[in-house]
Amino acid sequence: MNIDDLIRDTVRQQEQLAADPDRIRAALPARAARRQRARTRAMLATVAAVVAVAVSVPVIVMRDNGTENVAATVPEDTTIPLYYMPTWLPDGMVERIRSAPLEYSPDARPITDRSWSSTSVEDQSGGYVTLMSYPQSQSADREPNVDINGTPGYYDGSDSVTWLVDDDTKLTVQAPLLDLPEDVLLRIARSVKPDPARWQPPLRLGWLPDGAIETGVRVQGDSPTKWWAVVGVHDQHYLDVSLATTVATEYAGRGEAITTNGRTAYLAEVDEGTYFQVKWVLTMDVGEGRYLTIRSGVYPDAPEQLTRDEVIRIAENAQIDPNPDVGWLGR
Amino acid sequence: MTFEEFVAARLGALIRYATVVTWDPHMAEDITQDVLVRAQAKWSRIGRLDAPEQYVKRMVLNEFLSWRRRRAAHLVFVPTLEGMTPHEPDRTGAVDDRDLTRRLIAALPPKQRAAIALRYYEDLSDERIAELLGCRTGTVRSYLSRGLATLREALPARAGQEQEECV
Repeated sequence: MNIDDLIRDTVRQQEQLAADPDRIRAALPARAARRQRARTRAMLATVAAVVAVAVSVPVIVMRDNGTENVAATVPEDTTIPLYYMPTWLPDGMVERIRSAPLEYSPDARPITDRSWSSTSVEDQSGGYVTLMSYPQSQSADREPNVDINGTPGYYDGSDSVTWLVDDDTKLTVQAPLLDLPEDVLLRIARSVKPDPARWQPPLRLGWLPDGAIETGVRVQGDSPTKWWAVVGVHDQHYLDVSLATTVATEYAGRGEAITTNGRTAYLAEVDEGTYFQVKWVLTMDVGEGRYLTIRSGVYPDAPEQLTRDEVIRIAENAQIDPNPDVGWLGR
Repeated sequence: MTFEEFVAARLGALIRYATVVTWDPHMAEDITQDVLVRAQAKWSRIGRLDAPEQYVKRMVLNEFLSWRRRRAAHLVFVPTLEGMTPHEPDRTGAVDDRDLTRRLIAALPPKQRAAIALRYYEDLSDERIAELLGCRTGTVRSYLSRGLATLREALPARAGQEQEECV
């Protein structure tokens, strides 16, 4: 087999890893609704000139030279349900990724994604086990071919098992790149139990421009001292806000020095990229070995960019948990 | 074609495309959802295009390059090829070669990887890839050349030799 054929063969193999279209289709209305709700709220808030934080607790965000600053408030219960977890995994596998959509309501249907691996989360070539829960699709499922604790499930013959855990919820256990035997994969699936625990994202955004919404949060890492959290933002502007235990941008400490919340942030005006033009990079050492980075830019079909003051305001209102809930990383 | 008809007919192909372009099923899923929500909001315009699927695929590609930038800014411990375990030629087969190739492609820089996906999955010309990536044709050739060189260097001699015979 020559290299061209080998690559063609490999990309065809790669496409087989594609997620279940039913699941994506099922999640679309909720995702679109969240976006619409947020836009409506933003519009109403602007018209009424009211900023309502009915039930909130202060978060001590940053400390500078021993001074504590209350920079933002965060709703009382911003924890995220975990829903399910495997109670058995192959030796050496620890949890390294959690991601979930934001804007939960009491009657929210479960959508979450957790991953475990024995290799570093940064090792893109390493395999992992992931557990995804999501609302049941209305469309017909594939013919069941396995039993998961008395419930019919579907094993794809490769690396994933899907089953209905209740009338509304589907679960998928997937193990890409691990080459697990079927019996091992099924053992993981059959070990899945409800997980009543909740977790708290280390970063939320207390202020965003009109029309922008937080869509989800993802935390990944290898240990409580080595992690990265990003809040997904849906906006007409390109916007990327993250908190990490390392700062990994060439603009760190460069640009205009600004004091915000008693700490020094650096705002660099840049112009990089081909499709997404990044215009601002703000970096800030928020203490305790953590760094906030904000990258803002423009899309080609929405050339208006955030102003300097808006980028600073996002940083000022970033809700950074002083005691981040990252103890689950590496366990 | 309504948006619902488009999703019903083309979502499977779209998610497979996204999975190959991103080389990450999770990212592909998230990007596809995000892109579809945005596309739905603009469907009155997109639906009138001659090839709405091509437009949406371009949205997926653009979103991926954005995501890659976001992730790359934080993935400071991305493994290099030098750090990977050397392949053992004496025990390779087609399956091993595909597995190694998959891992090698995963480690390529995002634009090289996207160029390879567009060439080998979509069978696009250099010119069309350049249009999609927003760069010059020469740059695309450079992406492909570098990507292939990386694969040839790391793959067993057998595959590289056969490739040279085919050139």
